[in-house]
Amino acid sequence: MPAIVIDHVTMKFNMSKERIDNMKEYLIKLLKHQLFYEEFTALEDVSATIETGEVFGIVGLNGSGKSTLLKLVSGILKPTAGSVTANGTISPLIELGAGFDFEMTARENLFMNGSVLGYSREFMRKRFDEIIEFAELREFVDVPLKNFSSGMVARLGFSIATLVKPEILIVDEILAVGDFLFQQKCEKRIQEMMAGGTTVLIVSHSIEQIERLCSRVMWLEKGKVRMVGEVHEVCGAYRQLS
Amino acid sequence: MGKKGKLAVICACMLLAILFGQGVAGIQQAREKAAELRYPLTELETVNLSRTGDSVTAGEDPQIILSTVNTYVKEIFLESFDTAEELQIFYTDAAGEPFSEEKSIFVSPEVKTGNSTETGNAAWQGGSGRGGAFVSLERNAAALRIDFTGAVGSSYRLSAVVLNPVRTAAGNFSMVLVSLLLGGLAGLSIVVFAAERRNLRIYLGAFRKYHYLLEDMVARDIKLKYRRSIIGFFWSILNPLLMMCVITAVFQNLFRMNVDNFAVYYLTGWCVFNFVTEATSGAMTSILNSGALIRKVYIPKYIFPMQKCVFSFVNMLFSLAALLVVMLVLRVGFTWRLLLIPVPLLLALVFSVGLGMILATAAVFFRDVIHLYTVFTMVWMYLTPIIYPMEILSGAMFNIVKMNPLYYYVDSFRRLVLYHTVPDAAEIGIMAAWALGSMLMGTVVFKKKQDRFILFI
Repeated sequence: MPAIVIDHVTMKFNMSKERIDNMKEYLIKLLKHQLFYEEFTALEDVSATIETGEVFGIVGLNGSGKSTLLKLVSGILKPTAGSVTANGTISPLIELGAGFDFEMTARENLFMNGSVLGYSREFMRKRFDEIIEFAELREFVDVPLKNFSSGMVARLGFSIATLVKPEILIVDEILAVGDFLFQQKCEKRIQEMMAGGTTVLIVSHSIEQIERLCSRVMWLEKGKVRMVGEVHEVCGAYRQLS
Repeated sequence: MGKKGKLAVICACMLLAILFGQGVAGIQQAREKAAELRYPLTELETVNLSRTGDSVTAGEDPQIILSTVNTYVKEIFLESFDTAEELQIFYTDAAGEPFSEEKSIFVSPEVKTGNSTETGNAAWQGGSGRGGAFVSLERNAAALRIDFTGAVGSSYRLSAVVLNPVRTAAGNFSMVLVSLLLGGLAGLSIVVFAAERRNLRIYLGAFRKYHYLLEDMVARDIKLKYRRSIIGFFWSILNPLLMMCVITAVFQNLFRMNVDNFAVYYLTGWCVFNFVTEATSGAMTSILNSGALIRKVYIPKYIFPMQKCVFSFVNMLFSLAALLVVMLVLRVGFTWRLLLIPVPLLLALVFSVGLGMILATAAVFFRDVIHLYTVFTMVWMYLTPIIYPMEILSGAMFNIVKMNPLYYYVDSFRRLVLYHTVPDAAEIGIMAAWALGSMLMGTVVFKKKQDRFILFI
């Protein structure tokens, strides 16, 4: 069974248009049903099948719809048309430390973030030390997050998110966390997961990284699939762009 | 189920509700009458023959009520009350007006010493002087009150509310309206449930995984609310107490509101009302305010309105401590009926979650709802008997208030706490219907629209 099936997915957004100067314009737009919003197609008819255990990369320029695709796979967004099926537990590393409250301490945030990801409190209590060790934040456990450096926050987020070996790991440009030593640690952890049979979906602007990690790559351009295939083939073509 | 089938189910439910409502009204009426006569008078200082306009049931002829009162007075007067010395009868012409005295009767020594029904009856008949009925009013009084003063100085009060015929008819009509509304709601719920039951099970199944999140978020809300205040969560107790002092002072002294134990009366109403409005308005903006989180991770979105409702519920539990203090100070007795207060409160919670989900959904797409709802809650407050007794309402207003779901939650909670009576089956049924109907509607509306939330926040 393939881990992720993306089936003719189209995603449309409403672009905010806040400026309306007068009543007349308001009424006209109201009648034309385009008040405040204008449609924008972020993804158009994208299809892909990702097999279990595969490491799949997505490349593309800014605004090509990479992150949107990841959000669709992780369930944050629902497609306007088409369907996305994911078989297995997903750990999304799209935004580290989503739901961190900067007024609260690292300890409180750790449990909070754990429950955001759907882990039980008992489970978090057991793994508490392990997470703090990995994030190298032992001395700062009871310091409010607002006093943390951005690197520290990211480290904490990464440690919680990669706590469990998920069946599907979704990675969005987060390997640029902390100093280079920590980055190596992160990459090692992700590679451990890959070795353990986890399906990985990576978005990165670093072509070297993609080439090093991935087996297959999709190239998105303005919401459409430009190319899907072997890593060298696609990356080679993508490089020609510059 | 086809369109016709759905319509049939809804109509059937409405019909059943009307039949049930009328049946319940009849049973209630009969039972109340029976209970009135068996009231253990000696145990209580104040005996309410009927506390509010609604418990003397719709459709009742004032003369029948009067005769009930007469039988009652006779029994007390002759049997249990042979030491009574003075008996005063008061009446009011309209709801809300103070009582004025109709007549005052001193019990003659013959009655007191004779202690036999025969002599007593004769004396009683003689004393009344009006065709044998002890209490007979020529005017169409809205309510009457009878005070006994015992030999040792203990006084007893018996009050009866007599409905005038116009209001009686309206009462019946309102019962039909309420039945129609509730029956329709129940029917709609069944239809929707039948169509969505499989989806709902999956949807709510995920809750097991995420209930820790709910707990954590509520705990965080509480922590944040009282951060850096010196007396912390004691504000939750102190705040209602201070409020109560102000309101009691204003309404008892300024407006001369004639309600026994006004402080407790107000506080019980306030607790429930404030909980529901705080919960629903919190839930309404919860999705908008959690935009940052919703955009980043997948969480079942109903967690957010639920979080706000549970948070308000916990807050209300704190204010119950304030209520407890007031009850102790004012010596409102504690009875086993207090153990039943979770029933109206939990049903109110369910109701709030459902309404909150509907509001949250609406607020995502139309921010206007947020502004509208503040006005609505104000209207809602005046349509809920929090600071006024139901007796001051008449005709149309009375019926409107009885359609207000909050009336039932407030009233049954108040009954348990202040009047030591258990809400009857009809009241519990209405509360449950509102709660489940709102919950079901909320879940369905929310679920249908939740995938589009992210595009609008």
